[in-house]
Amino acid sequence: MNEEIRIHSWPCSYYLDTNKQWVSGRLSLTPVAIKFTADKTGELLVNFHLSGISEIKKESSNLIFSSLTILEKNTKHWFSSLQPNRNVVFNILEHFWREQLLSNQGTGAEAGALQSTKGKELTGLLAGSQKRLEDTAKVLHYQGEQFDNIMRGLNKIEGDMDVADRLLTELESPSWWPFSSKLWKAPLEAKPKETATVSDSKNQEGIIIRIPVIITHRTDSNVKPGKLTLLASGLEISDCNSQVIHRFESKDVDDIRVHTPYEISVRQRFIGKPDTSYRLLSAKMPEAIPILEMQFSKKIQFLEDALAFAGARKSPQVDLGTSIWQAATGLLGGVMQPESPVGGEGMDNEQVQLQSHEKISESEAKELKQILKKLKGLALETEAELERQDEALDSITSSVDRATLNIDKQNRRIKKLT
Amino acid sequence: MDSAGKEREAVQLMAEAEKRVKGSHSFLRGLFGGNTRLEEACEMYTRAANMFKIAKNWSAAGNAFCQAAKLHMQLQSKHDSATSFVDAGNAYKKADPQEAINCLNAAIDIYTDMGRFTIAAKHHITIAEIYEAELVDIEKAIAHYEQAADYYKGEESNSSANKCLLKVAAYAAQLEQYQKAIEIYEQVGTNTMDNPLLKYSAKEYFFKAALCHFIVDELNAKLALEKYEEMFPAFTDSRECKLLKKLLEAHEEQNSEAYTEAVKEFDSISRLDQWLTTMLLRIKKSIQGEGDGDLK
Repeated sequence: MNEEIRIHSWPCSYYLDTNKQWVSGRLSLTPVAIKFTADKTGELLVNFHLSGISEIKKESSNLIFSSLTILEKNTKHWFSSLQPNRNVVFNILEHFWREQLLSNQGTGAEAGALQSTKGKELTGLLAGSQKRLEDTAKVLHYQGEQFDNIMRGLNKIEGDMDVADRLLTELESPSWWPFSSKLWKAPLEAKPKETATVSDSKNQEGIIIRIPVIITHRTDSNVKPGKLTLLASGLEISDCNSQVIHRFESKDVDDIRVHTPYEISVRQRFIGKPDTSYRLLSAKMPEAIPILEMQFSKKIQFLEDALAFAGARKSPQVDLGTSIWQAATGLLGGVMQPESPVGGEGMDNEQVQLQSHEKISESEAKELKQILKKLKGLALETEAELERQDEALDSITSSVDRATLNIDKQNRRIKKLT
Repeated sequence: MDSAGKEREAVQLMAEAEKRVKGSHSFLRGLFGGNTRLEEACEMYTRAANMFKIAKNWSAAGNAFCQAAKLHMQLQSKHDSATSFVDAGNAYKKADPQEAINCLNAAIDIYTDMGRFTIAAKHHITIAEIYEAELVDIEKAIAHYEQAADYYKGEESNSSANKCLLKVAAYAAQLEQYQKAIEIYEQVGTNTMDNPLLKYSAKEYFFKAALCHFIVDELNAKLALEKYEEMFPAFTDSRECKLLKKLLEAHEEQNSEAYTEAVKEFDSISRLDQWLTTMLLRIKKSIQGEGDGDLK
């Protein structure tokens, strides 16, 4: 191989990093190297081996000049004002670079072997579509994740909106009223509180669960044992004598923090008054949390330690999901199985037919089948993900609608107040 | 014509805004309504910046946005300040990359302070892209991509995190930091392996990891290949795995022709991208380096 042969050379300019200026000259390509000589001085400014290239890119410098960059090890070479045209140079350079990898010393011999058969062509096509579908799947997954994030944000907004709603109600009650809104409502509440013994309330409203707890009120260190009763309409905290200490209606609860799997705090916020909050500790709490989570899904907040718990609890569900999925695919596979011999036969037939026209070898057919199988799997997965995203989108839409309505309503109420 | 007029107007606005800021510093003003004057100044700076944008005077626009951001900071509105810094960064990006990075960094500081890590990560990526394209400082680009990946991971956006990590790995391999690249590819591969939607791409990551192993040491590549096949049985069937096996064999026999043939066959079905070309060339070189080296 004669290394001095110039395959091609183009007039262009090169960016000198040391002087921060563009130098015009000629870029020339030999079978193994790229060289750049400056016009004025005739100096050889760039000279490197083709195999040292790690990237060739079309870029623009300062967003104006279209230029070509070649990354060699850690240095980036900028070439600009390429003539006749950047794309030509790019294609030629890339071609010779790749040839470094692909070319053989014993050239010519494999020219015949290079003749691609029909089968190979098909494989190429399928492989290409598989690649594209893989990329699509990646993007879809990313999108799904974003939808999930949006949902989380919306839930938070809704939770906050509930709090705002309650606070607004409180503000709206006339300030000259000697009883605060809480007391205003109290008579309604007090009646059942006084009269309703535990057994009574048990009959009246569905008790979901009752667990023994240790209660801490607000921040005082006075810890006392008691019971937490989860009702359909709220939650009730009572002491060990079944005397009700406090009762939260569902809408009064502003947030529930899960500190650890065994400890939660329930809080109701007031304007101009300290919050009512109870911290509850119980060994049975893990049983109650899922119910709380269902009732107050938007207000419940898992703190760090509890997150692991929540995650741990979720994973069996996920497992369940996947196992169902696996069962489903197994089923699908089963459905597919009886088909496949037919398909196989069909393919064989086709193969025989094709063989008379052009040759598809056994191994190629096998490979094709494999890729097709993968394609099918990918397509199924994509469909499932798309359906999931569709549902997510629906709930996002309704949630946004609700939020907008709420905001409008609250705005009106605030305007009335001011 | 029009743009020149806009520019003049913008300069006037800037001067006006500066006056307001100075005015607000005087003692009495400071007591009464100093803040409203600052707010006015803020608005003027933003308007000036937008006019500079129309006039395509990017660095002046960036400067104006920067001023606005600083005033927002004084007014304690963090969010506005961060947004202005981002605007400044976008304007500077077209004229002064280094300054753009400074602005974006300032925005990131504010966002992380507020706990908005997703946005911070996004701007880290922007910075990394600037380093990549304009300043050609790959090391720094890698650092920013890594930071972004960390933030994304913290926010449970795994697929965004993976995207950043893959960039890091590709650059690390280019810079011959193979160990790092291998670790990332393996990590991403194992992460995606169990996801029904992504498991089809996992083979690509294992393939890349194995290639990196190959460049470092042939034996390691063999061991790694076995490990991957065990971990992820679908890998065995893939064309990538078959190619690797052929390449390993060719390398063992120091047969560069067989090597080339295998690569060529692979390339004829799906075209190799630039990254793969680079890596395969490096391996090929190691064959020839020990052989006659007639390509030198």
